[in-house]
Amino acid sequence: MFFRFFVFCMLLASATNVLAQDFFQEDPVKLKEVRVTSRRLHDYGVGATVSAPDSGLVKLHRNESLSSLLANTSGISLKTYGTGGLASVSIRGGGSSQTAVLWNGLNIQSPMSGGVNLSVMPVRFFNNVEVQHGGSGTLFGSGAVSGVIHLSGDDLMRKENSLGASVATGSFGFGSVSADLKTGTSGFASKLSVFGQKADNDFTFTNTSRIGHPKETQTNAGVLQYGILQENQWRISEKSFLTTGFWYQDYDKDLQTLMSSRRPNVTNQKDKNILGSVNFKHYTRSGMLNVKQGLIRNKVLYSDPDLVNPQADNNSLSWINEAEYKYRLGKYHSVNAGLNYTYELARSDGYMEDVARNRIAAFASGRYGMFGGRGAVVLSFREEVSDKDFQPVVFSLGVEHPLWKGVQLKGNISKNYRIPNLNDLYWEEDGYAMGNPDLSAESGWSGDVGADFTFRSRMVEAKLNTAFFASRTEDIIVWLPEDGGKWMPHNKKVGETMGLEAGVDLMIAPGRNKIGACVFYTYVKSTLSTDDEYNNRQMVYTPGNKVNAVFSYSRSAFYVTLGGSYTGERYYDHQHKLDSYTLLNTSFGYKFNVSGVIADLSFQINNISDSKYQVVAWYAMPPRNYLFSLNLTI
Amino acid sequence: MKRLGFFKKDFASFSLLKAFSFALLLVFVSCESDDDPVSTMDKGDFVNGVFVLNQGAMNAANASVTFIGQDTVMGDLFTERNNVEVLGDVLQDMVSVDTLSFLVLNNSHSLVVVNNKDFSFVKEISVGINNPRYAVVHDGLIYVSQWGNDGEVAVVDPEKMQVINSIALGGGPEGMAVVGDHLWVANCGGYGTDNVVSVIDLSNDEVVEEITVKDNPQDLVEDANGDVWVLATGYTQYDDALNVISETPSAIHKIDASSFEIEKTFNPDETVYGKATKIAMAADGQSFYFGGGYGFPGIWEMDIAASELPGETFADITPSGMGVDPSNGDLYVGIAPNFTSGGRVEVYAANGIAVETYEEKIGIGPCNFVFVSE
Repeated sequence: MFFRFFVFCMLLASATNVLAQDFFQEDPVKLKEVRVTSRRLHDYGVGATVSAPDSGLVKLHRNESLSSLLANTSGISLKTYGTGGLASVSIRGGGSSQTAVLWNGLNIQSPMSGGVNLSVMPVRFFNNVEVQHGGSGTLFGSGAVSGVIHLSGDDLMRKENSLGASVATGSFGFGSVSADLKTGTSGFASKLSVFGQKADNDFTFTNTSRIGHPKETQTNAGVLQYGILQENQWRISEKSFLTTGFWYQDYDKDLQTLMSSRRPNVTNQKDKNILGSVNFKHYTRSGMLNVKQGLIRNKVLYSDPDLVNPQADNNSLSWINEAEYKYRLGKYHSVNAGLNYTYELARSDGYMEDVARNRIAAFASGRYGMFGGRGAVVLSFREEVSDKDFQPVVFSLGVEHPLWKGVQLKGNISKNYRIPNLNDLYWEEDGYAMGNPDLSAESGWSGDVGADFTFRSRMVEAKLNTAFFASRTEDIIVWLPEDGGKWMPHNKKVGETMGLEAGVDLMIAPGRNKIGACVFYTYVKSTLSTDDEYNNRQMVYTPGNKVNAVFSYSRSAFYVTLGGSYTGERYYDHQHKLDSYTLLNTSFGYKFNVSGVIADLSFQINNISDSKYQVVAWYAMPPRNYLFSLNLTI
Repeated sequence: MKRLGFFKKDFASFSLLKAFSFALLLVFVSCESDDDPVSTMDKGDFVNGVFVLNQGAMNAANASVTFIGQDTVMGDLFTERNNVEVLGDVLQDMVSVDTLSFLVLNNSHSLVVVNNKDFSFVKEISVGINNPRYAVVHDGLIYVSQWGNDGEVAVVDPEKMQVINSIALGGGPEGMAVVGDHLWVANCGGYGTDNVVSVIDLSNDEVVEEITVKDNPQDLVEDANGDVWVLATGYTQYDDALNVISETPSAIHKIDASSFEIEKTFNPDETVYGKATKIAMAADGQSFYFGGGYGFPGIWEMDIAASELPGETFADITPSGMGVDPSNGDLYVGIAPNFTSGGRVEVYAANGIAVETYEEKIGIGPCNFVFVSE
């Protein structure tokens, strides 16, 4: 163990030495950056594909939850248990616990399950959603094996004060209201956002699990949720900034009756999440200190009146502390090093007693800028100690190289890890399952190479992004019945993934017209292997082919958006597949000004082609449906 | 396993009533009779073999039925024969009356009725069916144990194909056996605990006896002498802080079927035998097999005259289901290494020697066996 730590320190020191040999200053424009989103992503996520959902797409889903937006976002595969139900994300064939979700730079994955329920979160709360594809996210810690979703708000002090409100109503009892108020000056600004949504989801579907495929009405699928987000940003001095965030979510979801069940389900899930964050930045002549702290409290109450204990209560608390310092070495080079201490506490009806875990991580990155800042090499390391277990030292090496004007080559190779979730380790032995305290971390390698092309003219802006990726993860944790009996997790499988991503972004602006198009294709071959199962079969719920497309057109006050996605067939067990499906959504709207109030009236049609599809086996999904919304901004 | 009991009765005690109650198998069997006018009738596609019921993974609705014939194995019978995608969610049991077979689909909350000659779909019964577990046939009626509706046995008329009566029982009615004119039902506790074996008079569907046994009786079988053997797993209770408040041991009871008195109780040491959940009577009714304890790779065979539990295992595997071929006494064992891929069936001769393993076309979680002769 100590040897490993020693090696880690040596590597860290040598990396720092190598990178310290340059003398130029990094572009100082970034000094004014206040936004809480991680600078680490932008400065040190070099060589990785980082994308953001198209603005037209964000607009299309602005009255819905983050799961609706991400389901249509490039390169993301979302596993949704019915409409409005538990939704978890995966990137490049990884699982949800292998994809980290960061809010204001804090990892909000549940320490118990490793998951994040994206159906709980409204799109409106995050002005910035960024998706980092691949294992380069390793410098954000455990769980960032296949990618990272970064969520953050706006730089409020640069924004004008505003008051916004929106109401939306739609098919199957859908209704949502939200409002946000931004006030302040360039020295202090705050924003309050509130959000509420309900849906009955009592849609009609074709029950393909029954002979004759009868039409049935969905039962027990309603949802009621609300949330509040309060953010403050202070400019304490010319060089110091403090931001705080407080976020509360409440989610009450009836768990949808499966198509294969002839009795209405009676189970329900209630999630309550409280998140708080404080972030302090201080700029010095040669660098920047960033200290952040977060407190995350999750509660998931699962109820099933048929059970002896009709409610199962799961609680977790994460206390995250992180300090990092970025030291600039000349104009284009820098090093960044930091420490993270996270305390996790879980109390669950599934555990024998409260479980606590202490995690300490040290991380460091060096950036070497090239070609006047247009290219860079970044080397990063991270070492984590969870309780007394030293995890393997992981690293990421990324390169961006401007080949010639308009063409940029990029590449990344990284070693990743994921420590077991608390459920994996400590699930109390009951009749059916037990945790395995002897589990070790999953670890693996991933890499990608790609090229970005850009073309700009007076009227046209075009971008083409391509990436080829591959990864191998060992010791993947899977729950298996022990000798056919009690379920227990083991480090059993080896996952191998390779694939391609290719995206085109096109913006044409002839005269007063604006036309935008964005198409993204993902091919993933993802296999799990052990000596006894799944050999060389595509991993369950991982589509081989996926296409996302968004087209938008606007002419002065009128706009129309068409979003579409194609999801290829997916295995849901060793031999059965869910059919591929195509979903098309559209919205058209009109913006007008009524005595200083900007109104935006829109009409949206989801699933235009009335596609019959399933995301998770036997969870019916809604047919064509409609949404009418009004957004007001002062 | 319950059918096994019947087989034993048909072949060991030749009770006419019991033979009558076992109508499905009789359909296959009776065709042989020379002076029977139905002898020219189509015997169907499934003779001299065993149906393997693969329960599938819960909520994935990937239950399936495999038929192992003399020289062929046919998988996915229901979906292939009906050209559909799905049979249902968590298949537990299958019984037959005349030309119809009734498949018990636990998490679909239904009985799927098929023609047992070609497995073509006939009907799905769901009214009155709630969390069904197992089924037996007696006097032309089907009795289905159900955890739902607060624990009951639903009585299904196979001609009308509907539930015509229900008999309220304790928590989690599970394994059943027809013993004489009585239906014995183990109340396994369902999601909680119970310790009663209910005895129902089949002439009026009324509970005539409640036998208190050790906690959570799972299943029961009748031996050659007409005694009933009950397998109970015991129950562990936790308080709100999840401390173990009480823990009761597993047990094997021998009960006199006429006096309803418990004659013997064996207390298997859980560190040796695990908490066995499966029990199956040997073809001659002179011994039974038990096993299926969580994480305990073992099947034990116990002689009905034995005064203590067996010292050595019959086979070192954990069964997800067991059944005995009445024609030769072979023990069929279903094995589910996981619930994401197909399992396997291992066959052991009565002397404990492994004779065959089937892996091809066995579905997820093989949990039950239904034997048919010609």
